[in-house]
Amino acid sequence: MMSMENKTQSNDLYWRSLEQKEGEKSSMDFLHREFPEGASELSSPVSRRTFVQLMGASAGLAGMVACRMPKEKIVPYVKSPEHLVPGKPKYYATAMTLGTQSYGLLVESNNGRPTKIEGNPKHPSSLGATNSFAQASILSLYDPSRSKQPKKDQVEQTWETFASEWETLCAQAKKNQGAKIAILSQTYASPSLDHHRDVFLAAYPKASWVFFDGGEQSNESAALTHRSGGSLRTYLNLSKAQVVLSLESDFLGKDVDSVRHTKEFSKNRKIESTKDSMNRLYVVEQSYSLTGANADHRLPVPSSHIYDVLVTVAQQLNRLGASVASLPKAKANKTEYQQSWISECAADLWAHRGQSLITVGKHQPKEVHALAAAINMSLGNQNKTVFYYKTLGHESSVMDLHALSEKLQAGQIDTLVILGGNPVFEAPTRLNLASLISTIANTIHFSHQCNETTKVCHWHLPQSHELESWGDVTNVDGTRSLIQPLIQPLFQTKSRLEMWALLSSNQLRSGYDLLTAFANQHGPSQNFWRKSLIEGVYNTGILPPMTPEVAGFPKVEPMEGIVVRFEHSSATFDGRFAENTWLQEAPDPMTKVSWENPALISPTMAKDLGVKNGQWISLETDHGQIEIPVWIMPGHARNSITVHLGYGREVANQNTKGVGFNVFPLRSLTSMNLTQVKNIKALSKVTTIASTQNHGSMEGRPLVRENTLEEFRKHPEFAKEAVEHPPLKSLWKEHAYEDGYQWGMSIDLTSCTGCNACTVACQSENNIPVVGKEQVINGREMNWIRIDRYFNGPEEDPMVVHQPVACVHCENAPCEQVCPVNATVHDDEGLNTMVYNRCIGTRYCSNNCPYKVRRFNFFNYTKDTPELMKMANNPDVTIRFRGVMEKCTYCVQRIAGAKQTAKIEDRKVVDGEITTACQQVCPADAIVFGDLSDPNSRVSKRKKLEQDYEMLAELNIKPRTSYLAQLRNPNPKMPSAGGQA
Amino acid sequence: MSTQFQSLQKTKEKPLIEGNPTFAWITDKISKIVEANKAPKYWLPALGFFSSLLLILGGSIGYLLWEGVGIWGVQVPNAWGWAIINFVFWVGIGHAGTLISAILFLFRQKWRTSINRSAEAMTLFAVMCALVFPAIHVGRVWVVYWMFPLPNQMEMWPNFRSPLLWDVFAVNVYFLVSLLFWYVGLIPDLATLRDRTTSKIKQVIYGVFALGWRGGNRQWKHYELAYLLLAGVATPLVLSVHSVVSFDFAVSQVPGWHTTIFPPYFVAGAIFSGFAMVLTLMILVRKIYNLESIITMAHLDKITKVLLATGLMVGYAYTIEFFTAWYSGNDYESFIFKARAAGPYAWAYWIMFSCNVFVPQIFWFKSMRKSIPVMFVASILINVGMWFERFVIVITSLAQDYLPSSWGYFKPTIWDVLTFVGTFGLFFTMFLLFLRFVPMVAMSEVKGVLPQADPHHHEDGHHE
Repeated sequence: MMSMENKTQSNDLYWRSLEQKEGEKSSMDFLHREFPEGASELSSPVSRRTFVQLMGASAGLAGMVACRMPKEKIVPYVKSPEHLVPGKPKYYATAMTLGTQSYGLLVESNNGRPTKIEGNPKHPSSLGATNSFAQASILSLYDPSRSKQPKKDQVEQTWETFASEWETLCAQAKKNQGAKIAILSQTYASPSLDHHRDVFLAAYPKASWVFFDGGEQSNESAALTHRSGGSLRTYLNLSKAQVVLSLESDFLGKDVDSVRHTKEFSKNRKIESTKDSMNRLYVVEQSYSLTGANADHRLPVPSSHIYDVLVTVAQQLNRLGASVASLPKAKANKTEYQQSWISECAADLWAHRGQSLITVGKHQPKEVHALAAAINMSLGNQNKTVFYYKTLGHESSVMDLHALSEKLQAGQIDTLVILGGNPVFEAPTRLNLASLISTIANTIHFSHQCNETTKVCHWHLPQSHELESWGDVTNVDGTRSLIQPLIQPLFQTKSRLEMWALLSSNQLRSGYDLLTAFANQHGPSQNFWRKSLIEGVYNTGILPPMTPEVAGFPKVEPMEGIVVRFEHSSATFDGRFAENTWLQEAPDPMTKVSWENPALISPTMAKDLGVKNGQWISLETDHGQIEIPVWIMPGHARNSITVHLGYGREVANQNTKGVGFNVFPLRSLTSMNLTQVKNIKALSKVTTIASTQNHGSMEGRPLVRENTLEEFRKHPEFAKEAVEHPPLKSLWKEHAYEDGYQWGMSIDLTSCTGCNACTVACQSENNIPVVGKEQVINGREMNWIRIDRYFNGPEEDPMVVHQPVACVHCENAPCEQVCPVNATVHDDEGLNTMVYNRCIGTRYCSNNCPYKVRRFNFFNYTKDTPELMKMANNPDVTIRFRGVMEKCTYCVQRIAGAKQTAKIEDRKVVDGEITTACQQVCPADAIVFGDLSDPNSRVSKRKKLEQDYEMLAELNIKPRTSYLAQLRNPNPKMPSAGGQA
Repeated sequence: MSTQFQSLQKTKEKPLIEGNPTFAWITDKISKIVEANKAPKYWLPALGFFSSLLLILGGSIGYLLWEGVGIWGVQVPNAWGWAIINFVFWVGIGHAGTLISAILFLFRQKWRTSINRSAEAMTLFAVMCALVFPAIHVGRVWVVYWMFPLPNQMEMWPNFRSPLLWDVFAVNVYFLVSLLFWYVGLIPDLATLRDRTTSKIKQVIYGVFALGWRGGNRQWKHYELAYLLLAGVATPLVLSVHSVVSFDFAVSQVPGWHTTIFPPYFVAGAIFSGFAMVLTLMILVRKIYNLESIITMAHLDKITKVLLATGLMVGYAYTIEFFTAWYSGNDYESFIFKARAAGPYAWAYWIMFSCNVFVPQIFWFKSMRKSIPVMFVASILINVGMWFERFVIVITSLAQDYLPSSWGYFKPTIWDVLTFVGTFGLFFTMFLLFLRFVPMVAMSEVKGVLPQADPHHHEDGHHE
């Protein structure tokens, strides 16, 4: 625009008419105004005339909007694919990887776009369920900030350009056998990728290939080696374990295999009668984990003292008759309570030889792993509750990264390929990776998104999402699964397999060709291929269990003073999900903090430091210093701090940029998991932390009803008898149900671990908007199912209970009575339905809901949803507009779908045919949904159990969701300083 | 009735209007305020100020409609916030007018005549302010008419079990009846103005609104009957409207809301706040318009006595609530009352308690009932206290209800504040226009209570 105006001004050499040449005003005006009336008013910012005219016109024409139909192209298939019925979803089996871990998935596809992820029941790590990461990965697929095209130095390029450049580089590299090529890759366990890696390394034998993941570093394989060489890893079989001791192993929570663990563990905690028995879980840990919350006994100790605790356990066991050889001396400065806690725990383990299990957090030093293995073997647990398998796939090694950085420093590398991840952000700052990389001549970064590493590399190659990729993956136990795409790549991206093949053989071949070619040689045979694809898994034989070589146990002095532990985050994992807003918004199951990662400290430590929630501290280790707000976590061990990794990104999409605090600078090569604090200081700055639950006490109210198994056996009716109330009479005529279905739900609090998977699954299924940190602080989060967390007992060592709460579909629903426009009404199957079209938004229903499960659209939250992200929406669920109330519908769209199928097939809906999204995802099988009018349905049977109770039943609202009381199985001999009631 | 007794009464009772004025003096005095070419010097700046506040109200509502109710501090659990507080506050203020004109009329409290016109006007304007809120506080304002039982092709009806719907009817009926009552009372005075004015235009306008009033005997007969009937209709409404407003809370099951004491407690509170507002306004009006002889100290004295009585009633309600909460044995209920007095909102609770219970106690003293500054400050404090009463009820109960996991702390935003301040703009703009264009004292009624209005006093005395 500017340049055009300048041209006309300087254009005074040419004239159109004599008048113009003489500069007559009217002709100048005419020249100026191509459209003499009103043209300049339109371009000038504000003129009174135009303003009034435009206002008048816009008001007048406002009504005309409706006159024009929106233009949409609906093009039918020329050749319709087989079995594709428009509007009917299809399900495909595939797999998702998380480092060397994999999850088998069944993905729902609606007219060619994947919308919902479920677990593949045939996959040993999913068993039909998933975790929140798998649930949320669908959103990452449709993230508009994904890299769309290869780029070199910010300039858009094609893959062909890169391929030819790579060919030139390879030709040069051939001369010195690839000595100057280095590859830095994320970890994986995939036979086809390994095949191409082998091809690559065969061609360039001197090239270095380093694996690095920025999160917690596992020390397990360093401790557990096999006689024949090679490292081993543990595989827990919790279904056989009666007594479990977890030493900072969050096997029900942040452990990557937690889905399977939870499935197995919860099976031993299902109580259907007073005769049933239960396993017992002891947890020793620093930060309160989900596993700790589900423990029967928990002992908070700093992470650095875990080894000491385990040595004491071993000594006790030796005293009882075990033979764990060459133990160092444990440090004696334990309190009497801790001492007796440990000896009773050891006695319990000894009493359950062969049915007990000691599991250790992967981040713990290798001595702890070795000692735990020795004890497990000595207890006869090996190959019963714990298996040792050959390590498959590649493990992250920070030492290899260090070696690589030295090579970079020495100028021995001229080509660096970074395959995935964000090593510049995650590596210890001492390595100075960013500046080292920027000195290298050829740097290539292959990843989903632009991040800190992309910034320092020349080439950026966009990576396909796994739902767009072909591939294969090996599970821990040796089961293999195929990754098949649900959709063509949305952008010009390449899958890992395609990228690996490009590196190894300079070929831009399609993933399908590559995988079938590989499968023909090594994978499932031709006939087997189709079946494997449909089922999602194929076995090339489960791995044989092995026995680890366990060396002696050196004496390790626990770190003195305050330690800081670097832990995976429940939202970002190690940072790889940092840009996923569903996960960012899902509150941490223990702290209930969302969108942030404050440093966790114990209440005593907060008192010592003189800080309150949200107050900033300055934290200094030998390697770096950061400023971060604190969050006071009851039950956190004293003299220790826990920080979560993966936050504080500077280069990220607009929603997650600068979210949280970067704690990576505190780490060093030798202290990737735990380090000593050099200096800690309270600052005066205080910020509000976004937390979805601000009150942790139940105030003595009978909300979560809890008891011990022993007491339950004596008083099986305890849960029902927890509340006394006068006889209940309804003010209104109650619904009379003659026939038809009666939907209801039962949630087992004993099984529920509180893992959040249901919250994210519900978000995906029901198109629930993300509202962001500010709105969470304002108390406006939208999740239909939330998990309430309550503390019970002393601040320093409380017990924690979790309770999933969604709309309970009250029979005498208080919300229905107060809505002035009948926007929330009962249907004849007992559902408390929400009529969005009718809702005018008085919010009276929310006030009158004693469970506060109703969510209100305070703003038009979906207004700015990018077009791409809309593809993640479930087409069966309405998008709610501003000013409308919403809440859990019991997944009414799934109910309707099942009823339609049943009607077509002229039958009734079978029990178990309908699963709600929260039920389907639940790895603990805590949620059961079904028809209450059928006495044989699973939900009816559950509700007949003795420990069944209805929360707030005394209000005579008759909730259709009832709970099974939480039962724990504490050791009666245990000292009673814990929070156990 | 013996003459002795009559003389005894005369010695006891001061005349309602001081200075024994003539009819003509009264007509002149009141009419000239409307007829004068210039308003008192404070009038125009005041109108300017309050109409600016009115613009703020308009702006705030505009932004609200554009963005959604999220601009306010409302959230879960506090899905209701300042909008509902302000609604109840203004409805409460709107109580005094109709009470003064209808109930005191039925009780033959003749002193009401000096203040009933402006008190009723105040009622109308306060109810207008109140009615702003239910309309704009809903999420989808453009379909707020669904609250009304309008016949439609989908046969969708409002939910008659919802107290919010009762509220719509109660407040609207109250507004309409109050308007009618006020207007009927105005007719003779409008005719007076019509007859006095020299301007043709005014003559037509007053003439139209005077509905052809000639002051004939038959007209007076019908008029007084109509007025009496309207007073009869309005009287139950005075009690019902705030009872129904209280049902919004009492019928729900939120701890601290679900109490049977609410209807009388709300009505007492409403009269309390309404009279406080009348006191504030009358103190200003009588001073600015030199009406001290018509709105006398005796009037103010009576108003303060009403304040004292109703203040004691709300004080009783505050106290007895604690007893019922404890006696009910309902843990949720007792918790919320403890939390009110000692929880996170204790500051609001004690502002409420001090202003509403302690402040009116000064009116036990005659000296206080005679001091204009004391009365003025106390009347404003009482209305501050009454706003906080609604704050305490609406906010604290929701903030800490059944599940502690959902507890929250309500924080208002700037838009909450501006909208509330804006309604004062609406209220005072309307009131200032009323003072300028409508006779602010019921001339015909005041004349009716003058001693000389009763020429056949002795004859009629026997029939009383």
